[in-house]
Amino acid sequence: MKLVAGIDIGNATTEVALAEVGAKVRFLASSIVPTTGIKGTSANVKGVFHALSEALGKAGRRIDELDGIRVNEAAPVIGDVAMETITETIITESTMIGHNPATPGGLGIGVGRTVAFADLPSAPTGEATILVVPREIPYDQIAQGINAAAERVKITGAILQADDGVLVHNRLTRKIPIVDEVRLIEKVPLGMTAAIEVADIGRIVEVLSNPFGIATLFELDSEDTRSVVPLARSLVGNRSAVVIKTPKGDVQERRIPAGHLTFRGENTLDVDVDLGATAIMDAASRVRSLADITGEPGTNVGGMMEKVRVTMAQLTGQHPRDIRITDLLAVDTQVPQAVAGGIANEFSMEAAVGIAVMVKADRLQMERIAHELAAQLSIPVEVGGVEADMAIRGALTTPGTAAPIAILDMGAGSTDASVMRPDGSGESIHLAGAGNMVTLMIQSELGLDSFDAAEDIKRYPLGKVETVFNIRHEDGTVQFFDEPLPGHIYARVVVLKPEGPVPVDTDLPVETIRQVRIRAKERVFVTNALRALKRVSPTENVRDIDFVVLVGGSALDFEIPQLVTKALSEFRVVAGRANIRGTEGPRNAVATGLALSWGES
Amino acid sequence: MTEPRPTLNVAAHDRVSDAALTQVLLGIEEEGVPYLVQRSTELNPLGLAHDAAVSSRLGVGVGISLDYAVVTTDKLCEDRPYLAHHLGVSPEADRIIGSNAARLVKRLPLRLAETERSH
Repeated sequence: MKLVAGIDIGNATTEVALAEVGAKVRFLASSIVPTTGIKGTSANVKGVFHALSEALGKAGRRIDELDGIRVNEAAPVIGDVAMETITETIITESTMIGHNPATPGGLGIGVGRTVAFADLPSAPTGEATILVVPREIPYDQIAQGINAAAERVKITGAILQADDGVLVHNRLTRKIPIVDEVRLIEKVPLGMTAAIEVADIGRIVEVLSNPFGIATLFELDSEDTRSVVPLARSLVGNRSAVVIKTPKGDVQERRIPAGHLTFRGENTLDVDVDLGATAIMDAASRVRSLADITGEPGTNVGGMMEKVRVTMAQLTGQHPRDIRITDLLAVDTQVPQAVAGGIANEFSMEAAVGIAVMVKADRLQMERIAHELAAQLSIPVEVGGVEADMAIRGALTTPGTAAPIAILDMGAGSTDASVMRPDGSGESIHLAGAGNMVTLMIQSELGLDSFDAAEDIKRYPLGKVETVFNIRHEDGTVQFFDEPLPGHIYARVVVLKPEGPVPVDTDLPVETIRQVRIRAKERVFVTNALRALKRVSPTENVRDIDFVVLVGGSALDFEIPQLVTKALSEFRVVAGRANIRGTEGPRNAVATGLALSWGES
Repeated sequence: MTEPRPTLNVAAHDRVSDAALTQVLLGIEEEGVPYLVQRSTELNPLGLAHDAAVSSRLGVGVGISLDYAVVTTDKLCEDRPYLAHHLGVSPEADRIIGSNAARLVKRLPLRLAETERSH
């Protein structure tokens, strides 16, 4: 009997399977720790040592009892992700304000010339006027000023910088619509005709979001009406709005040139990134034997492709010139962006393209890691087996599986697929796009500040704190608590982490966030599952694979495996999360495969 | 006897000046929640807040005394209120206290306050 350890160093975790190998293989313990450093570098040794000690500890064995260690021949792939916004909205000369102050004042529509509050006493008698009031003036003085002037000047509305809309409104003798919380009030042009609209509680503006409504208020001809369409469109969905008619004012929506991608293979194709994901993926599929993808130098996409090449070059000791980007996954998405020229924190949903790329090198430096490990532990360490083959060996320990079998290894950086045919032959491929791409999409679509916050949303279900004592989960069930829930999460959407609820920094409802999360997972993992299986299938048809086993970190996700299972069931493929050795779940496949293959070498 | 109108109740000690209450009340008003001010000889802000919450048909009360503003609901124990702040740190801070009491009624997320006492 020999005591051996199979060790799998992955992008995110290092896993160990500890086994006694004789006539039969008997597994003693497993362990999993975070990978130290970037996969394939000497920094990994620390993590390996940690994982090894943990497994040995569980089995009650000592490190000097080990007869051998086998490390994976890591697939030399690395993924990277980026997001390119391809449209932008620009407001020139502040023609509009469209936002959602929590508590505007009054309701209805007012049209008039904009006049600063300080100039109210000298405002022309009888002229329709919209007041522009800076923060320095307290609510009671504003109300007094308006009431005093109301007989002389026709005040039709007010724009406030402070959050005092309701306070002012409550003190007026003649009610007017009031838009408040306009942050950059000094940018509101004075002496111009303006229209202001405040919708009733629970309603959205109806006149200023309608091009003909604006045409009516400003007496526009048909040509001018055409030009206010983007303006009206950008006000859709707001509780309050202001439109100001200035000589040069305009709202423009324009496409940002994002550069082009060049796909090289037997034939070469160029595609502009701003055409969107469908055009990019279409170009990718029309290039035969794709060998490399490059981005247009001097553009954002060019910069991103260069960055991946340099990282990979450093990792493998190759020249960046020799690094080949062999796969790319593009996804269309919508990103909330601050409107350029906006004066009340306006946001606009802009079109964007998310891109994940994957790079292949000759070989990672696993041999070097093996040497270092052997030197430190005085135990023979070998680099054994292609990672994909080992993963299949491990995956086949899942109860209920048999060859022909395909495995989908859904990690953080890449989605890998391999197939084992009944005759034992196999094939494996690596595709761009995995867990990190999902996180990036969640982060940008929800407009979150940090990648970690998006990672939380990806990994845990949502809930909403409804009262001081209860949370409604995203599936509608209600959970009660003995202790009052803290004030900072009151009435907020929260991520239900194991250590407790964490507030999500957005005003969006639970269902919207949930849809963003699920769509991101589907667009990356379902798309990649189908792409991968088509390529490894003997007939290029997904239907001709019987069993698909899901492994890797993203297979641990609470819904990704279900999404993939559901999508593949339409092709009558049995797909599900692996259960390595019947005990390990989707983890430890490669490490288990490495230990199993020991006896045969 | 007719039922009282649903209000957020603010109970203040007799010696607290009207001026000291102003910003808190403005915060409630801006949120559009009806409120009622009660005066009392009770000195303990916790007791004031608790009684105000219990007597409020909206179930939320504010107790103001001894430079403290305490916000609580009728479901919480007297000695463990929901929010406790120093009063009069700044007009803006007082406004937020009132705003948050109203948001508790409206079931809206609370605004960040720098004056919250650590429990």
